[in-house]
Amino acid sequence: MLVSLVIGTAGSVAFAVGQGDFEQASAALQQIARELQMRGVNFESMGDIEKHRHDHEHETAHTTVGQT
Amino acid sequence: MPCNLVAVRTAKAVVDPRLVLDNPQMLEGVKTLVAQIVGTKPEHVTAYNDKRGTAWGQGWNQWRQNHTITETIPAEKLVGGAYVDWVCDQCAVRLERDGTLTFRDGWDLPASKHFTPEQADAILTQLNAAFNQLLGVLFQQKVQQIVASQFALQNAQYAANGALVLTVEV
Repeated sequence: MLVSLVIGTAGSVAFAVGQGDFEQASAALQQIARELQMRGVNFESMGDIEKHRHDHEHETAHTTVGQT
Repeated sequence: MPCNLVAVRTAKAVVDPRLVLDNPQMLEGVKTLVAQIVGTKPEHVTAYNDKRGTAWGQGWNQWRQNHTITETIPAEKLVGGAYVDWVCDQCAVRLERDGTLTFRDGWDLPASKHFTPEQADAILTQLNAAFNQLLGVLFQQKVQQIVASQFALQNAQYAANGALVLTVEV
């Protein structure tokens, strides 16, 4: 499975898989992130693994708290 | 990032100053960077820290009485310190482990000052940009080295915005 990493100069890292099923792709992304962490890359934030259908539509669940 | 990806994840890593402070080659290379920005020659820049040499200021003046400005402390002996100072006749630059970057104009006596406050601010701004750029490239290289050592690296290329794009087989 081919994984793309886009590494910015300020510490941003974007991981992406273009082909395959979501479960396998998710496992591959977790594996790469784990290897980087084990070898000294300290992530201050790590986003959820999402499906990326097009620019503004991700398969994520949203809720709102603190509003009456 | 293209559309219709199976899976995508974004993360933000800490770009650690230790990429310079614990890297003997970078400790040497920064002499050239500092020299270019403050307007001197790389051979006139000495690197030292709490492990080798003394703290700047009075300690530095005392230390210089017994050393020539061209004396070189092996960079390997500077690795692991709390900070590194790159020092020339006019000024000094200190990088600390928490990322604090300090530019010092001259030494204890007012007559040793070489820059106006505005010039000093401009130099610090340039130093900050240069160190950030250097650390960013070193961070990219570190990620590439880890990925290449653990997976099959298929391709590596830089994008126009400076980002490093890797393709790996997992």
